[in-house]
Amino acid sequence: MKAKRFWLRLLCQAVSLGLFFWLAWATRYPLRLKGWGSLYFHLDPFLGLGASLAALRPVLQFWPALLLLALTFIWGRFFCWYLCPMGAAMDLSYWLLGRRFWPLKLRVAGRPAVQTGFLLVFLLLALFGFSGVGQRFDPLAISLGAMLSRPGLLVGLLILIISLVFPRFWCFTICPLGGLLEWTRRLGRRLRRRDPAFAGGLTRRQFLGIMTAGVAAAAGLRLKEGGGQPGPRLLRPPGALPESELRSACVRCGECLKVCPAKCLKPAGLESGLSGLAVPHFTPREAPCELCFLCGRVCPSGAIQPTDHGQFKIGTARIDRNRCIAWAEGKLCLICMEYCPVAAIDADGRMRPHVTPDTCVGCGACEKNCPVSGAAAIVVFREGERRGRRLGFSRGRPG
Amino acid sequence: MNRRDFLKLSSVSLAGAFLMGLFGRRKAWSAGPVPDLVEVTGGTPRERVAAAFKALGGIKKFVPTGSTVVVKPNIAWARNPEQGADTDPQIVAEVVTACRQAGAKRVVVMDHTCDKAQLTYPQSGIEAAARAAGAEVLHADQKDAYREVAIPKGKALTSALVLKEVLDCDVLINLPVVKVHGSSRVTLGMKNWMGVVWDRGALHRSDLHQAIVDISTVVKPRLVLLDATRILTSRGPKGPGDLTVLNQLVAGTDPVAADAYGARILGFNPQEIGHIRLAGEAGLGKSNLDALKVQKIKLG
Repeated sequence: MKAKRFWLRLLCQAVSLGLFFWLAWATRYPLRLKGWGSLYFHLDPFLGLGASLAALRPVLQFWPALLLLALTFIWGRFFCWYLCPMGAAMDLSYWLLGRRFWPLKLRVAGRPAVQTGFLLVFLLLALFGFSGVGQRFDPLAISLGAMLSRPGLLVGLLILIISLVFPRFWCFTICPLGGLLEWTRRLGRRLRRRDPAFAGGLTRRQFLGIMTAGVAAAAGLRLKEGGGQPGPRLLRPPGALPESELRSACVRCGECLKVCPAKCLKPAGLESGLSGLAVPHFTPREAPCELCFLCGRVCPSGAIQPTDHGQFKIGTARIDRNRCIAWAEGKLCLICMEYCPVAAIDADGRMRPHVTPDTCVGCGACEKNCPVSGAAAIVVFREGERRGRRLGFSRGRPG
Repeated sequence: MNRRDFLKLSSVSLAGAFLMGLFGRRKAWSAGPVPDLVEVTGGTPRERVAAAFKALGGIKKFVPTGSTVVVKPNIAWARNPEQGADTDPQIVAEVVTACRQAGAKRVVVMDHTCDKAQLTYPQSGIEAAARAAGAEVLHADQKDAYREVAIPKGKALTSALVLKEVLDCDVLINLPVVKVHGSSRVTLGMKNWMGVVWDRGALHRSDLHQAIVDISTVVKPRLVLLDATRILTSRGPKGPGDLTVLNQLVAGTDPVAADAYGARILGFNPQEIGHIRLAGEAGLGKSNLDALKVQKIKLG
């Protein structure tokens, strides 16, 4: 019976892992998936809770996560054991490699107190607008991240390798999603009077200590960051919500980065403050926006709204006439005009380019292709940007 | 050999030689002198391409059996075929089919695109159409696909990185679309070579018209086919701009003559277009339209 259950679980995990990576693979240009690509992220209560705390309103796109919580309440951490792609990768690699050196029986390595501590701190940070910190530790985001960049892949592999020695250490020591589901499970058991009260493995003193230190740290960071004014060249994808709403609604899942055919969207570092951590932005000189609007179609949280031509403006291109070879040297260039997808650049009688600011959408095709060496002589600024509509209560678009 | 045998052999040989001579002469006579340019109007893309090749003496004349052919359409922009910013996909497919039927071993279709190839190849319709017709559709966005060539006759450029496939092929067919261009005024055959060099910016930084001519001194097509299915007459090269549907194809072997003719289709005096005038002066072909023999074919 036990062996049968083991094989069933392994099979479920293999299927789920395959599904997760197939969906991730299919999240690409031209997008044929009709909204199902980000299914897993809609199911993630930790991401939804972080966004809701940061936005101080429920982010309804995550309603399927409530379903997951309800089932966890009844069945326990079935998601972690049967569905989570990271857990599946751990168990499968343990089964393939680890069991040759260790017994088949998984000895779960966990420190519930540490996990509870992490979760509390992450949620407190989210409440103060720094939801990105905890979301970087989400197992789904880490799994997708392994497909996005080499550092992401290294992080994923490192976790897998450690889990060969300490099976599921991540899930029972660090994982904030696992922590949240553990609390839900314990609550369910408590209400069904099967367990004594659960304090997450913390003593009252530890709990109060973490809360006090967490609030102080988060508030301090908030004060230091102030309004978090974005720089003049911080360009967001088309359809992105207004800056502060974007930062709270974005769950840093990586779906937009995955789908972007131009590979222009990049997760921000700390240059736009801690609250802007890992929010997507782009630098046209490296890669311009191709205006495919797929990022808005795959975003699970509505941080990037579905948009189309005429409904948005990323910024405005400005010409540096001292460096432009048509203006400064009288050369026949006009590459910016040639590349402009919206015909916002015109030439005058002396073949020098002029930008029509109202027509320019700020995609940066001009900046990317400007033949001047080093920094371009035509550069997109956030000036004049028009963002996506506000995050609404009725605009849930999961699944 | 006795006398009888000698007479037999010599009379048979003579008769054979006479017949061969007659046959050969008849063939040359029936084909008539080959024109400098052929302008085919109307019909389907297949009929236009077939008529153009026939008037130039048949595709076999240009594409030997077992040869490697590179067809260079304009796939620069992520635009739909109806927007006229790229070569018409059906014309590309018909040219590929004709080359395959002539016995080409490989037919390669590629372009160093302006927008990302990942977007322009599918959106222009050329990737699917050319592949279905039996072409190898290759991307040209990696630097290792290029090789440096010296440009001994260059005035603006002394060397350039040019696509290896273009340098190494047996037959190069230039298949641009006819449209106006913001900086070079028109973009036809010679301007289309900006899609076989790696660093296009270098051409703008030096002297655009002269640089186009310099590239044309080292990249020489066996055939030029100007696709004027629809011509973009404003907001070129990317558009969207005004379109005129002509259903026309211009074919020839002289790259300068073809461009001069294409410029006139767009309403320009070819001598006004810097690179066409300079190419004529450099002896790359005839830029004087009056000196050209143009065969005009109208299809139903």
